[in-house]
Amino acid sequence: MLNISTPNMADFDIETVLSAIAAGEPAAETSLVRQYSRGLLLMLTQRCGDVELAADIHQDTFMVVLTRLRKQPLDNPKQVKAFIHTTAVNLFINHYRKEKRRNTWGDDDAVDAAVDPMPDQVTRLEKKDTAELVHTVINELPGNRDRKILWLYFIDELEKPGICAQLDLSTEHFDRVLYRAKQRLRQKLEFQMRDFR
Amino acid sequence: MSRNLKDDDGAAMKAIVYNNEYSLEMALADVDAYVRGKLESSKHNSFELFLLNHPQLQDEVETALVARVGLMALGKQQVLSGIESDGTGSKQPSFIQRWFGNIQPIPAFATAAILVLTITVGSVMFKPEASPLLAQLQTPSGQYQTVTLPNVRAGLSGDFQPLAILDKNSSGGWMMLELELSYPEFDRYNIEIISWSDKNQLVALNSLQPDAKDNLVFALHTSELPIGDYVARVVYDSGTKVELIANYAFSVEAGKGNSS
Repeated sequence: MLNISTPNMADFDIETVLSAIAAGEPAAETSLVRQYSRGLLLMLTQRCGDVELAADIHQDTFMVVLTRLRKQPLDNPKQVKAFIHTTAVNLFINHYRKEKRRNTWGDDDAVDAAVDPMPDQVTRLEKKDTAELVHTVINELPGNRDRKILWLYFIDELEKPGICAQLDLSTEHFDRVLYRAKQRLRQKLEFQMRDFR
Repeated sequence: MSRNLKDDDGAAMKAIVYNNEYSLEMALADVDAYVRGKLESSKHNSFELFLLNHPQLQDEVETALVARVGLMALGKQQVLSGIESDGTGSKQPSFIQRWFGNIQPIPAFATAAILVLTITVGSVMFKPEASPLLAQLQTPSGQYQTVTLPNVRAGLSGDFQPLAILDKNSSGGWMMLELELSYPEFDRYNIEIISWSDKNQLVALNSLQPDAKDNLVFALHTSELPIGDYVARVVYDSGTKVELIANYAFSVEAGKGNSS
């Protein structure tokens, strides 16, 4: 079963991994993808606001990165994170410059297999599932005002002082509601992850 | 083939500058700002660099993203009303209720409109949906002429300037109108369709709720509106006072019968 957590950084020696990628070892490519996959997908989801598009750009990013690393090692292996990030940001920008972005990087099945985001990473962010999770959490909130706090903060993007003034509540109350809601969501996500395993 | 950081046209990819003084602790404190799109641009790329491989930061961002995406998917109405749901939608206003509100056509059109609406909506247009979310998101477009009237309001006097022209001969005879509200202040609104020429009210719809996109969505059959100019008048009725919210001007003409 897939382990969706990001592997421990201490166990990940980037120089060894990059050397192995250059030597053509598929396991090293998988290791690199696993190390950065989840963070990259979250980052792209935040930028795109669309999980499916984020998954596509995620895949393209690793295709570009792995193709390049196979052929030409980085001058400084410690720059691999910045290389992945820069590639992803530029692909994201290019997506909005061009209508057709997919299948640009050739049909390399080996790369293709290595770079797919793990299915549950995508599922956990899909609208329907997240709506159900959030729905159960907001129903646990004691009153309409607490729900309104979440709406004003996450969707209307008002700042804490403005929300506190508008709803006539203390910053402590605001912090408490936000903290508890996020804690419950986190618990439910962890629970969902255990179920998946 | 070696592929450097170039796009399809061979142009060099844009270099990104990172803030070396930005720390993981700062990133953890900036999670909400990042997810809400409020993080300063000078920190944004550095934040994402930490996000790429730091599990705790990933957990925090994922939670906030789930909150945001989930709230958005539920919609303001459902979040703020705190409607209990067991996932079957049994306590959720049905899609039909949300779409039509309580339609009360003016007598001349009452019988025909109610019969047409009830029978057609109930038996032809929709399949029952188990999920309230699916029901909410379901859009029966393609069978109807769907017209969105933008948030540009009209008066009831002066020159008539329609925001849209509806086709009297649209296929199926149905017209679906979406009235954009910039920021709904109220849970429910009433809509009156008024003839521009004689200011007679032809249709009244009560208790429409804005949808997740803050639009008031409703359907009319072409038999209800002769060719002419109309204003959809949106009002809020508090029970003691009626407040005009907006007027949306549109025309009905005899077109070629294509749905848009």
